[in-house]
Amino acid sequence: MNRYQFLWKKIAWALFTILFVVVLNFFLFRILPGDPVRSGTRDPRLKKDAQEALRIRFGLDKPVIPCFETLNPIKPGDCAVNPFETQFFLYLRNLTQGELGYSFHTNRPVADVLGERLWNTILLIGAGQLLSIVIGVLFGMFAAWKARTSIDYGALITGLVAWSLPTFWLGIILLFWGSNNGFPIGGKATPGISSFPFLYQAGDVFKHMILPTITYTIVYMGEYLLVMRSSLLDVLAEDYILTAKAKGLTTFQILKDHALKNAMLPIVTIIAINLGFTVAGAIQIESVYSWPGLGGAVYEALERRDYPVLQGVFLLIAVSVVLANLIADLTYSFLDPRVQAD
Amino acid sequence: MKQVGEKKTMTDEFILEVQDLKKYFKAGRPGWFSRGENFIHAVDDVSLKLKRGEVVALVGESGCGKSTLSLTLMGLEEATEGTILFEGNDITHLNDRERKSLRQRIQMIFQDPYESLNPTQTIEEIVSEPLVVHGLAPSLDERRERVRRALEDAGLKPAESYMQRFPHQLSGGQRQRVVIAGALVLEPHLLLADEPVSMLDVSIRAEIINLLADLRQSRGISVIFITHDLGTVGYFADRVAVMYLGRIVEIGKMIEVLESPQHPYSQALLSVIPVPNPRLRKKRVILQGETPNPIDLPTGCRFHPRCPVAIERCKSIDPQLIELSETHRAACILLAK
Repeated sequence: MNRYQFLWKKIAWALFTILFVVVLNFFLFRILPGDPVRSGTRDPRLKKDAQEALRIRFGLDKPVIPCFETLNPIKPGDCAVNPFETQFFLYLRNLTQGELGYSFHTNRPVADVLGERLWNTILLIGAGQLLSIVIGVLFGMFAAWKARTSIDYGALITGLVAWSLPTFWLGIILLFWGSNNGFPIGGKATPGISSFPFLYQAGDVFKHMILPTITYTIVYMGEYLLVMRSSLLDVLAEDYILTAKAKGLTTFQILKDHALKNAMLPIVTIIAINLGFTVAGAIQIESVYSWPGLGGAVYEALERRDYPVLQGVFLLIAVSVVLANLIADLTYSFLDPRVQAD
Repeated sequence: MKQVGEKKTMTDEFILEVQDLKKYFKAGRPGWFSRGENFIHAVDDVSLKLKRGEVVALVGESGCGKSTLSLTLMGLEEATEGTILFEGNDITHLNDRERKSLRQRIQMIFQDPYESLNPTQTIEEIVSEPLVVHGLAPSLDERRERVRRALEDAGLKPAESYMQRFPHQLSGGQRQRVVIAGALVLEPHLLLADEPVSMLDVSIRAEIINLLADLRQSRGISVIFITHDLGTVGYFADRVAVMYLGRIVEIGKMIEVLESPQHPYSQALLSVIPVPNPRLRKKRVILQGETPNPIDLPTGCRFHPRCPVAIERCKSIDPQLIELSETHRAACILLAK
């Protein structure tokens, strides 16, 4: 198989996956029990006709699909209904036009809500990912290089402990520590900061990011460290490393030219998968630090049965995970010539 | 080729002289209750001389120390005791820089061509790497020319059609040729071939051995050919050394060892080589028992627990190599007359 065939096959699979998610997305949330209108307004005084008006406004009066009025609980309906007048068709049609709908709760366009939240998440999780990758991979390499010494065992234990720490628990501990040491402990910026100059605002956001980023870095660094270490140790035991030694390469040359490129393969996979989920945010960290990211948005939208927001978030997550995997596959085929042969 | 020490070596008859070489490995850490440390006697008192342009085959079962011996000669393992002279210079203990310059002259072919090539490098990168590392052939054209020549010498013709390929696109025999080309490109004086054909199909083995024989003819390379398969020895070895548990038990001209083996172990090894002609088949000597533990060696002759002709004295006397003819020696007290 040549490189283009490989590429097209991977892209076709990615598109198929996204299509599947689009369909799944719609039904997944509509099977959940609860009424979006009632849980969205939370006001018992809301009159029947006002509720009905809301239903019509959001298109919830239309059948979900032909033969089914609603999916929660399943309420059979008219099968003779025009399929183009169902929620499912409208959802698909809107999606093809790039229309994600309006939040049931805030009445704002979903795209706006997500856009704002997305940047917050990328800022926080991106910084955390970057730090944990750099620190984890470097320490993992160092541990493998110094295999079976106290440095190695120290790194191994640190990695295992860090990886096993419950995120929310570490977050709470750091929160306590931070609140006693003058760190801002919640939110993304100090209220009222928006009237200050840009640099001042940026500094404020940076301060707010410190604690959640440290939490995220500690937890994820362990994973990278452990995988990098074991992967590099595997490669260093390969015969071609001994061959390289016999050819007269120095330890540094062996690491640089032979070991790292091969040992990076599993890391690339993990990075790609984790980067895909970067968009999903870290619900635990965002909750502990009240960070206005996507993870928080999912949590809130679930509580309120805010279908359009949930659909939007899930679509975004699915697309980014699929894209990240696609990139991983392509990087893999670039790093490892054997991949294309399969 | 001008190299340091050439003046001295040209007059020397021997390219490699190994004297009383020992390589012990620590066997685990000493426990609280164990007395002292345990050692695996992987190579124990091996002496060997190799003439310029000569091929010596090292034969023995797995675990007899032949691979450890080659790794020690290569400097990939540090010798515990003894000396190794290469072209008249002591190479037993060298610092990194001396070791590196030595690597140009001693090269090694490893056993498994499926594992000893980096899967992410092209054939050209693999073969040219030694040149880059040693700073030979600095210009790209020159390097490419030497790579091409090495590949064609190793039987990969036309070399251009292989250079851009990856190891996984080649067969086992072709890969082993790439490994050989990677060793040849430095124009070594001594080649250590550690079971170069054991991982290959039988149909390919003869080709690779013929290739090594040709290279020895055309380039005058000395070869230490390590194998557990006596059947492949006859093709091109000048001399054969039989190893058992870290020792050489018999050494002699190929014809002497293969036609009239004197040590009971060599006799047993040779008796189990399949002979195509049924009328020429001899009685097979099947050795009983396992190879003894190299940590806790038997007293006296190492071979006595499995030896079909052992006598009482074998348990106490550790036999030395006895000269049977000018070229043929074996270590067995029954041969002492």
